[in-house]
Amino acid sequence: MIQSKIFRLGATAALAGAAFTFAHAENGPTYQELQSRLDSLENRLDESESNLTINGFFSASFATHDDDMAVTDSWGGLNDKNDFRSLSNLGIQMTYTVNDSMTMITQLAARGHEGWDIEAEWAFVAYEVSDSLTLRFGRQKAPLYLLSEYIEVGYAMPWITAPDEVYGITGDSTYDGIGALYTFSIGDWDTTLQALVANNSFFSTSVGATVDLNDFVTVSLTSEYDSWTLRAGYTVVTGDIPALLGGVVPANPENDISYVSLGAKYDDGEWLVMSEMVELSIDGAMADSKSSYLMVGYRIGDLMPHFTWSNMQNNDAGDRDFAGPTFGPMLDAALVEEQTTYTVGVRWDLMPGTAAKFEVSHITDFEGTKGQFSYTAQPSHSSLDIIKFSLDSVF
Amino acid sequence: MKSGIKKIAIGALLTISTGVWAEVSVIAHPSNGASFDTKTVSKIFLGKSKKFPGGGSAVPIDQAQGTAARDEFHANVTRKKSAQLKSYWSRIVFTGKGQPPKEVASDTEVMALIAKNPNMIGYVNSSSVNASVKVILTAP
Repeated sequence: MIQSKIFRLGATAALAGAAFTFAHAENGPTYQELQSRLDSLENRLDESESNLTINGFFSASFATHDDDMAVTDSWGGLNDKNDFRSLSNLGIQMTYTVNDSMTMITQLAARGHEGWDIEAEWAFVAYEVSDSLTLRFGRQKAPLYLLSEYIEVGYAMPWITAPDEVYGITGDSTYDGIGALYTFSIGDWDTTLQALVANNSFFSTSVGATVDLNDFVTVSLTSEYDSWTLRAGYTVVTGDIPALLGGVVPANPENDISYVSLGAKYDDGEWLVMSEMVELSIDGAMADSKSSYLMVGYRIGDLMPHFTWSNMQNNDAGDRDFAGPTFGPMLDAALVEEQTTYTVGVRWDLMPGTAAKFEVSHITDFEGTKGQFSYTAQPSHSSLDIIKFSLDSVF
Repeated sequence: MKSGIKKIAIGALLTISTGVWAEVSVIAHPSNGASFDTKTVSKIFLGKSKKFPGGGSAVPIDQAQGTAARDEFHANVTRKKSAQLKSYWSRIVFTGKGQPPKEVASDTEVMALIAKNPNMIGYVNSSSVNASVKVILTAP
């Protein structure tokens, strides 16, 4: 940036010098002509400067809880009693405009709970076929739910972490494949139809092994009008799930998995209300679930106090009975997750681009399951409290 | 009764903001023949439409954060406060869907850019307007 400024200054000085010399020469270009050449040169310099855009985000977070056992949250685990690392992350994004219809985007992110290893979260080439249709080739986040694509950008969300009951069930949502975005209007509603065909593999905490996801297809429809956003999504994928409990459940390379999601958001600048529902179905022993949340926030100046109820229920009781009276309950204990979370928090917008947040979550109603935690045994307690602070920024 | 009072208060607020709004003019190149309303301008400034109503690509020019013209414009056209606008663009930028409009520091810079570029659209304090640009919208 500084270099290009210096270069521009140099170019300007050189041309101005030329203008001074030649303006007086007979039959040479006039001052006006040189001025217009200078203008066009400056325009070109401006354009080359704006070909590469760099953006970034970070969240510096702290969390603590009232349990001695390890807790798994959306970000893969609050391991310490006083944890400065697990919920913290940062990312840097480079957007390079190749030409009017082609853009290259790379987003590198490092997360505290992964030891700050740098990973490419997004790495794709976007090709604008027309004003309404864009194709994307490469690594991209799946638009599973309302916030899935920017779940790591704390500043873009009201919470420090989105409700685990909905956003914690899918694991990492970065996939390698081909995506399409098609925008159109239904009356006054600005609508986007988004699709992604891809593959992925991720480490499942509930299975305790790497699961390959093949033939992943997700389609979503998002419509916006005035203060309203409505969304519906459908995802199908074939999971290559390894054997569980030493072979009691044999490996199945072709487990059909599907997610149906519905979401709504209302944001009039004062009130922010969000709600989503997700129904997850998996063949065989893996647990089916129904998840939902309702969030209500109200802005008072730069402060937004908010309340969230979120819940996850098992949807296929008895599906593991095939394993018999000994192993059936063991499978239930290992795979079934139920819980309800009540979160009270406040977001404080310190300045455009920076927000401080505070949240208290009370997690309860495990209904005899381990909830969404990585306990090896069922917890003896009936509830758990987590307190979180964060400072989120985008630039 | 309460809602009656609220309505009067909102009415009064609208009147005041309309009065202030008249101080900011949305401008385009003199050759731009399209007709605009608040919604069209809002869509262009939020990256939701990339073309002028009459065709031709539209490049919005925003003013820097903290300028009075910017606050007035966004309060009346995109209807977003600074923090909300930043939040909106962070959702667009970090999902690879676009970039916010280019920002310049003053009315003079907006005027200079728009006078030279038929594709650009911007806004300035009405007192800065001269014949080098065309005013396309002055009231909501």
